[in-house]
Amino acid sequence: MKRIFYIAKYEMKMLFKTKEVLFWNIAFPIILMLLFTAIFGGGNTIVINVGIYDQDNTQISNTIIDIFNQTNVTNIVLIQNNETLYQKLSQHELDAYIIIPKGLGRNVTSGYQAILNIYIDNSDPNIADISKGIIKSIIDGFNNKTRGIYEKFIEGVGNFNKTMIEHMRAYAETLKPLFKPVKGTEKVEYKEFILTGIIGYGFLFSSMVTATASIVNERKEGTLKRLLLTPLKPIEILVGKTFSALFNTLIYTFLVLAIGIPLLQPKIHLNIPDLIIIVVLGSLSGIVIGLLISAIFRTTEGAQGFAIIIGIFLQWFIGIWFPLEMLPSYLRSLSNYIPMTYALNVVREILLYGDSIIMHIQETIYLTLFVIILYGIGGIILSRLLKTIEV
Amino acid sequence: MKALEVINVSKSYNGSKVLDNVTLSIDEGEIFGLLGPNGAGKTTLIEIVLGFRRRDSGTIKIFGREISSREFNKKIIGYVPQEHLLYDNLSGLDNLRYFAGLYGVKTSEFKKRLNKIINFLGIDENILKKDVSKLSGGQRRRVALATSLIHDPKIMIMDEPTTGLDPNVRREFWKLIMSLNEEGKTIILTTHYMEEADELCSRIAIIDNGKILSIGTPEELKKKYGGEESLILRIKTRYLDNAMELLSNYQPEKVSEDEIKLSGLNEEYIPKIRNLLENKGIWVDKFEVRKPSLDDVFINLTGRRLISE
Ligand SMILES: Nc1ncnc2c1ncn2[C@@H]1O[C@H](COP(=O)(O)OP(=O)(O)O)[C@@H](O)[C@H]1O
Ligand SMILES: [Mg+2]
Repeated sequence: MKRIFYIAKYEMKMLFKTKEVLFWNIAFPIILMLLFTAIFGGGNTIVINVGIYDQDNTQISNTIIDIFNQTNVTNIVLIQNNETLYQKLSQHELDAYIIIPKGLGRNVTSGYQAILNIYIDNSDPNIADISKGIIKSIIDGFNNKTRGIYEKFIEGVGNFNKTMIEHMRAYAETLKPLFKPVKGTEKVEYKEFILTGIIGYGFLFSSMVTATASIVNERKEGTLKRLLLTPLKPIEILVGKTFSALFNTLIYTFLVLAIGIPLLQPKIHLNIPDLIIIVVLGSLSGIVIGLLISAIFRTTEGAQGFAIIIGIFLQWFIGIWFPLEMLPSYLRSLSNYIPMTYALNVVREILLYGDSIIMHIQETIYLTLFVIILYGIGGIILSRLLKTIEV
Repeated sequence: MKALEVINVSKSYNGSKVLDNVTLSIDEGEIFGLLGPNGAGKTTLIEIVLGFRRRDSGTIKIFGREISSREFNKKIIGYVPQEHLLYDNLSGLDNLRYFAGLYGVKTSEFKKRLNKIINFLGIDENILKKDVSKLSGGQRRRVALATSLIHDPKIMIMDEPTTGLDPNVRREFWKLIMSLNEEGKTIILTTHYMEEADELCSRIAIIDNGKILSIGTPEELKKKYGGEESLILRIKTRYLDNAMELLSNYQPEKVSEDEIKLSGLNEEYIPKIRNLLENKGIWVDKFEVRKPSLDDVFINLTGRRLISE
């Protein structure tokens, strides 16, 4: 047991002293994440269709509609009743709709803050992101104008008592937008999607490729000979290497979250214990595949190259960069055979929708069985390898 | 007690014999040298003994116990490989800690052994803190030696322990190896350096093309295959032909423009020959007694020189 600790410890030490490893394992995926968010998560040249259902019909509500009409990035569709609203929604003609509730005008004129309910169609995370941004900036513009009026008013009139000023200040933040998803389209935004995808990327590279490399390098440098002369059993080598690749992946996951959360400000449910369980399972399924690759190939170059190619290939099939629904169905069925697909999916369910691991007991059991069976096979293959391959 | 017995071991790669019926036995406490040119099969033999390579046939016994074809001879053997086989991007100290940990050496015991080993090998503590990749050849060799000593093995196997080292560093290593031997360790080393085998080893096996040509102490080998002693005279070129005539009774041999070799003679003949020549006005600049070397042994056994740089 102690010897396993020694392998894991010094393996990690070497890993983190290698700058290339740090770059490819940690910096590179994070750069990719930011790059993809920049490319697909932003953009503002699109005109969005906004439905406005004015239930208030006051001068204030008309002003709000006017403001939306004046901007050239929104195409306003006035909606008269619930039937037209549902019809347009079901045909995906609206990217968002705003309901101006009865009484909003009265609230605003009497100095109370008025809440504006804004519903966003989330079927396309990119468009949803854009719609939200545009609507928010229009409302901010409206609020800024009213704040201007308020400040002039204070200047001109002078001395007011405190409660009066508070009252006025509320008036300055007249409209408070409340964004909600249109029912049935509660899809995530791209930044949340990609942040969780990058965690799945770790199953391939921080886990699988790292595990292959940890054996391949020993063979290449000849240090495996030294290990074999110590009282280590092959199984201890296997477990030691597993632990170091696993810690590597956990550290990677932690760094992705530590960097991704402040940078992207995603809306996620940080259920750490459940997240750790599923990341460990996803990582172990990557590691055991990586170890098997290192044991099956006779040449070190073959093993290393194969692991990297498999990693590069699989990243398109486990749902890292885009939702698997976008794959044609014959490719999607391939995804179903990859354990990391399930692990990443559960990662998303936990982080994005606040699920617990218990709700995904089936995937968890499937992953656990996969890991156990492959370690069994891996143990046999590795000890055979050490007996047949001239190290 | 025999530390190691190798009996009729053969090994082929792609149909060509790399080891051909090798048989040798090594006593406990020896410094045993496998001497042979590059490609002779030294490393192959050693790695078969260690269990890294399979043998095609033959038997290997360590301290009398027969070893199966693919059994790593843990704990009893310390191995200093031809390439250093340390973890390059760990410090020397981490390498030592790591291997000690894998051998199950306890922390307190490790400290004691470490102190002893680094004193013994003359390793500076600062060197141990550096990454192995930043060390010089000699320093790496010492650290590699230290890691193979950390579990206090009974047999040390060293594959070309001084290849690539400066001549003076090489001599220091010889001293180290001898003192390890005095500490009670049986030492098996391979080399292609004549002087190394001659000065260091209690017994030598000469190996060429996978065959053991002869085994014995350096003295025995030289006596048997080294030919006679000879006396070399250095004389000015212009007197050389004259001198050859005067010495005709001794079957002189002209070795170069200013050297004559008299085979079978030793230092006892020097006064006599000096008189003989000086009486005729020929001065001998230098007398040299040439003893047979392992070089001669190798030439006589193989018809080739064993070239070492
Ligand atoms: N793995 C191998 N495959 C094929 N030939 C090999 C292999 N290892 C060694 N040889 C050959 O065996 C011979 C002996 O090599 P080696 O034992 O390394 O010699 P030495 O250590 O005496 O220099 C060489 O001709 C070498 O080319
Ligand atoms: Mg060799």
